[in-house]
Amino acid sequence: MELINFFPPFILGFFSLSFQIFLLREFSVHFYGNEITYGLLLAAWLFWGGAGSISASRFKFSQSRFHRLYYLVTLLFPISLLSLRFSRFFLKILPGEISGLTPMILASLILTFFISLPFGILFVFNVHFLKGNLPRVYLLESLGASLGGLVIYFLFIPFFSNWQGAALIGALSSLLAFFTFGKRKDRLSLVIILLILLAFTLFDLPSQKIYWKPFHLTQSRDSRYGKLQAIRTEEQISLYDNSLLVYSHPNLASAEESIHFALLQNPQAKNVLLIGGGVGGSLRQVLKYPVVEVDYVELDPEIIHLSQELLPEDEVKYLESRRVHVFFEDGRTYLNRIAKQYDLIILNLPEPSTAQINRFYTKEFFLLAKEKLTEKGIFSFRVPSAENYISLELQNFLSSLYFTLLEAFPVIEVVPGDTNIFLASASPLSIKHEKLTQKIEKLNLENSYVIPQLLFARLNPLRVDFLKEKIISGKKTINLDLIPITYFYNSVLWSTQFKGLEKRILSFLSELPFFWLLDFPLLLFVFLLFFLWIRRKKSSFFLVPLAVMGFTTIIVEIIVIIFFQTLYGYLYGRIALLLTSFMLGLYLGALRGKKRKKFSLTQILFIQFGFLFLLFLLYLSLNIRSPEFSTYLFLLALGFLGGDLFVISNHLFLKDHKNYGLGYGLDLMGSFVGALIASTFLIPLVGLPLLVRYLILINSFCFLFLAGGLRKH
Amino acid sequence: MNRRQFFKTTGGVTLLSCSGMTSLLMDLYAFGGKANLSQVEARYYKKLPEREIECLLCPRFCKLGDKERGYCGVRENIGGKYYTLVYGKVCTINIDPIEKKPFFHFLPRTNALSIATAGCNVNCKFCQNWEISQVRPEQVEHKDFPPSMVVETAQRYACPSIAYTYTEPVIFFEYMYDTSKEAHKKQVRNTVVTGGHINPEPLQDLVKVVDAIKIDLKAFSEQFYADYVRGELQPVLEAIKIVAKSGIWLEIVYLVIPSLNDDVREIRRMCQWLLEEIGPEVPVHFSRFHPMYLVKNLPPTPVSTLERAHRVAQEEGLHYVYIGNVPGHKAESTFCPKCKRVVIKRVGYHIQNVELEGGKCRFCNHPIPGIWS
Repeated sequence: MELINFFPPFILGFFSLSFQIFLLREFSVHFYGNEITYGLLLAAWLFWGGAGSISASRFKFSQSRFHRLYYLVTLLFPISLLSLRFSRFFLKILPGEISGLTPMILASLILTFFISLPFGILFVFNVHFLKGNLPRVYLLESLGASLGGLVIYFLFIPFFSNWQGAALIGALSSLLAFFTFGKRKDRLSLVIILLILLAFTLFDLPSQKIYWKPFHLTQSRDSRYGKLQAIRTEEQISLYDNSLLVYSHPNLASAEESIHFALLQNPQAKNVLLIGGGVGGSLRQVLKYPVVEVDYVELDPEIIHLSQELLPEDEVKYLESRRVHVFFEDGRTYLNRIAKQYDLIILNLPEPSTAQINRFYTKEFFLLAKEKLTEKGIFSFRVPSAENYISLELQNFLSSLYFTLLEAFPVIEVVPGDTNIFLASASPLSIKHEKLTQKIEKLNLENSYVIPQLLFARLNPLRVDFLKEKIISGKKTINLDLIPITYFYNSVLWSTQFKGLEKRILSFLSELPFFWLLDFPLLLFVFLLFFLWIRRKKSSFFLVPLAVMGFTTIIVEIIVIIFFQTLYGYLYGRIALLLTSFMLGLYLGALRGKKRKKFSLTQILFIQFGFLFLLFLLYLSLNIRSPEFSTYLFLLALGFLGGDLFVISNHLFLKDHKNYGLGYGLDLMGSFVGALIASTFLIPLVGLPLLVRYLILINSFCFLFLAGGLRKH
Repeated sequence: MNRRQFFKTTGGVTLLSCSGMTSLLMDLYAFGGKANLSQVEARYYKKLPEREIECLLCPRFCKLGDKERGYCGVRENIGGKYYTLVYGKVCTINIDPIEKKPFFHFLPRTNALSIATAGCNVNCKFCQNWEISQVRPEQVEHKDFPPSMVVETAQRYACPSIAYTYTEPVIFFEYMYDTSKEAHKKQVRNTVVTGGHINPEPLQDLVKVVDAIKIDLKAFSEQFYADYVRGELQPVLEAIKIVAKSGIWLEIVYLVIPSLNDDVREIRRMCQWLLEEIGPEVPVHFSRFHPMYLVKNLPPTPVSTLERAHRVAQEEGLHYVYIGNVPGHKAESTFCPKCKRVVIKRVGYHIQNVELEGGKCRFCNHPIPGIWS
């Protein structure tokens, strides 16, 4: 194959996925990076890609337009990242101020419009360029995408910041584009583009400083897990991870309450496990207890390294204490593998604001923690709450935590306040302020916030009882790895801070009977299939499976990623490998499809059956712990079927129609719908098992539809 | 299948969908739930033609048509008459130490029965009680708590005062006013914790029935009020002057938010204004900001910023300057401005020592202003 034919679609795939990754990482910095955000951004990306692909027929293809579009996208990407960084000025919000779903949706739609729409058009232009050889374009695009994912995750992210990486990818892609089809007169354009990309890179840190005004940004680092930034205000240092405050130093309130309510239950505790958040001041608090030894588990080593540079010596020294042992790994993985028994396990992580963190608040995790505690051991975590009013949404959230905890521990106490500290054990606990006061005085603890002079108000029996009563009378839901309901309630709670539509919509969805969520749309889908069957239009039998495939595969990918993490823990790069497996499968499937001599509806039917088979396998595997490599194989197989289907369907459709982009567009549109509903509410609300069953139902109806079509034709 | 059968099926499914949609819409409507609201005629409003009204309670002067609500969300024009929807309807009841409000020169070591309804007439990005202030009354659960019950509860729990607090008591003015009158009949005092967005006329009436007001002076710049509060500074300053002249007890809280309102020149100007308009005896609290609500990712106030504000205020001549939300800081305590000794030693909400006799410093007999018993 000539390079000139190889590069353009390959660059498209490589470029497109790389940009998606960087955009997602930067987006998370500004718009609350949880799975809902990812889902919305991904959905917007897929939507515009699909729209671009479908509407590409309106644009007349020409070689020069084709080349220029590549350069245009190369420029549009840094412009979008720049707009993203300065979006807070358009939104008139402070640095780090949280904005609701409405700005998030608008931003994702606008940003992806400028990048993904041209990519969609480029896909179709590539088909024209390769004289209608759609399978080849799809093939090469998938190959480019799979390689892109690997390169970004393993070569770029560990060594470059997001902007540097984006600029490098842009430079690489423009060079390749120039090399492939550039002429001498394009040399100037290329140089200009490269210079712009260089300027863009140099503007990274200055633009972050502008973003943080009026605060003073002193350091910034893109770790694998997020963007770490340090702000200095007078003597205080605040560390941010994707614009979320990790800690401020000194800020004793937060550090003290995370430790003392728990440790005061058993001041003689010897072995303490601290999951997360030690370096911001909690270690100092733990070490006030003379016999304690701490195992401190932190996922992101960069947080510790940066803190060591930023914090004063008298704080950093605690990390080096011989009573502290630091482990860099996922807390749940650590707990799974360790054989030790602890007197106290303190979960010092943020609240379950992402499905990833939610893994630490599930029944399965609580049972695991119980297993690693001594008989009188205590488990503790804290979540943001409200001091003076418990709304319905907050109640749902707190109750789900409480009842899930009850599955593992019979005794639970909850400390009221702006933060609620949950204490759980098999042995008696007490949060009576007289008792705690006694212990504080006996131990001569030099605290500033967890002190008798404040405790008597915070632990006023009226407040304690009111909170307990509110929690116990709330909805009884259990947070499970496969049904992450607490994560959803937290998202609902988060949405109540805003005044727009989002305030009601998530709340409403959480109360909606499943009939409306699942059965009704399914009925509509079945009706649509029936209607299409009546119409006897051949093209529907080729196109519907594409849309269903797009819908199904994206949801399955998301399900697998979530499930994978619950089993094997969160590890950087694994998600990239999972997605790469899928895309490699797409490539191999498309290759297989291309090699076919004959194409027929029967083949589509067989592939649809293949999807059903894989879905059944997935459903069965949710209840067992299969070996890690099987997940990669599964996604490879899924992608394989998808790639093969794409080639066959398009071949059959394009026999009678000349719309290169429709099939691809429908695939993307199906994915868009899947990504949107799965990440925003379907997965946490209905849970993984039910959702897989639902997918089986949808695909079964599609199978029947195809079988009916076979009969007709 | 022939056409007739097809249409029958389509028709059937359409009908099903429609009834389904109706049911869904009913679900949506019912989702709001039936709210527990009042319909008590508001005071301080003017009737206009065509069933319109103009509210005169706060500087927003909302002009409303029939069925429209004021900015605060808890007052509604129904057929040309203006009603408060939260009279006797509380969403929060607590018993808090008076020092928590904070009142440092008012009945120390006592508890206040603290109540609030939903609603507010501003939108501070850093609101501590946003769950109840930045919502419509239908979105929170209200309990019936008429004025007589409030007073009776205060007495039952040995609270010598009632605090109208958490949200913005201006928006439940009628309820606060009537409860205060009831309270006075039973020798229970009334304290108000407010942002000060209230018009002079209602405020003049209010000061006749309450005993102490704490005003949150959020900044000393119109720009800050516009950007982060969605309010105005001038009306708050007017309110401070009215309260000071009325003779009831006044304390001021300035929540210091790093980089937003901590400019030392602004603070100095504020202190100069207070000195000029009110005098040196008004207690001023510089409170430490903790990340909250929409700005939960802003850094908390460094203690040195608060100490600088404290120093500036003292330099300007204010006598009673405090630092709030930094438990254990020496500026939590009250110092006699004459002999400089500690007359009230505080740590957090707890008073360790009181060296006052008859409202005067035990050491040098200098009168310390406040309501001490």
